[in-house]
Amino acid sequence: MTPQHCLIVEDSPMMRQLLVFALARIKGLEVSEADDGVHALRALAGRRFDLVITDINMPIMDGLKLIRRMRADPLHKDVPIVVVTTEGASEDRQRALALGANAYLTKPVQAPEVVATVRALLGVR
Amino acid sequence: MGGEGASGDPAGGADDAPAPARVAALEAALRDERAQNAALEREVGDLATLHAAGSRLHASLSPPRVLDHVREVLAQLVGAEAYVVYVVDAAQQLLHPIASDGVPEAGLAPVAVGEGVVGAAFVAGVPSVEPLGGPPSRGSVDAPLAVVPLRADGQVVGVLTVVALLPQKRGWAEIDDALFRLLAAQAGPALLAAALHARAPGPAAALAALREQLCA
Repeated sequence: MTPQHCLIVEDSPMMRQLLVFALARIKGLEVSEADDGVHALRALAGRRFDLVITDINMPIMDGLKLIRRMRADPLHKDVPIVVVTTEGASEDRQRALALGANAYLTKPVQAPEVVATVRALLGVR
Repeated sequence: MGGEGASGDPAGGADDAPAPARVAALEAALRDERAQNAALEREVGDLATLHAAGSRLHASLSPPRVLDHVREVLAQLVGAEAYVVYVVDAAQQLLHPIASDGVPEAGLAPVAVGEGVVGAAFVAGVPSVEPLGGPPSRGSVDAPLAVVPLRADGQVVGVLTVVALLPQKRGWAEIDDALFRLLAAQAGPALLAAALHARAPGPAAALAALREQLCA
C-alpha cells in the first residue's frame, strides 16, 4: 500500500504532538510538521501532500493565508485541508470554508474527532 | 468471518436461535464492541493530552515561558478564553495576579487570603468548578467558572482561575477535571523552579549546588 502523507501546520508544539499522536492511529499515514504558514509553504514546495491540517492563528503567516496560497497553486488546489482552531465564530468557519478548507474543527478538539475527519477525507478506514 | 454457523459466535452460543434473533444478537454485540473501542480511543486520547500538557508545563525554566505554557494548556486543551494566575505573598497574606489573558487589567487586584471565592479556594486547597449553563460561558474575576489552587511540595502557593471559556465550549469535559488536577500539581512546581532558576547565577553554579546538597 502506498503511504499517504499529511502535513500538520500548528505553532503550538503541544498541539502538534497531540495531532501526530492522533494520526498515528491511521495505518500507512506519514506525518510532517510545520510551525507556521511560511514553513508549510516550504514543505509544500514541489511536493504534493495527501492532506493538510492547519491552525488559523499562527505567527508570520496564518492559516487562512496558507489556504489561499494552496488553492492558488495547481499542485495543491485539490488537497484536502482541515482547519483546527480556537476560532469558533461562525463567520470564521465560513471564511475558511469559502477559501477552500474542507473541514473545520474547533479546539479543544478530541483525537477521535480528528481521526474520523482525516479518515473520511482520505477515504481510509 | 463471523458468518452464520461460524465458530466463536460473538452472540454467545445463540446457534440454535432463529436467524433474525441471531442477527439482532450479533448486531448488539457489534454495537457493544464499537462502544468499547470508542471509549478506549477516548481514554487513550485523554492520556495523550495529559502527557503532552505535563511535558509542556516543565519544558522551560523561564518564568514568562512557563506562563505561556500554562496559557497554552488552558486555551488549547481546556478551551479557556480568559484566566488569571495568582501567587501568594505569605508575609502580607495576599494573592497577587501575575498573569492573565482576556481580563481587563483594571479589573485585577490582589486578593486577601481567605476572602472571596479565590481567597477561600487558596485556604481550602480544593479545586472548584461551576456548572455551565450553556454558551457563552463567562464568569467574572470575582466569580470565576473554575478555581484551581496550585500546590508545590504539599503547600498551596497560588491559585489559577478560569474566567471565561471559548464560545464553542458547550460544557465541561471529563478531561477538564484531569487537566485541572494536573495544573494544580504541576503548574506550581514549574513556576517555582523557573523563579528560582531566574535568580540563580547560572546552570553550572546551580548544578554545583545540587551536587553539594546531594553528595555532602
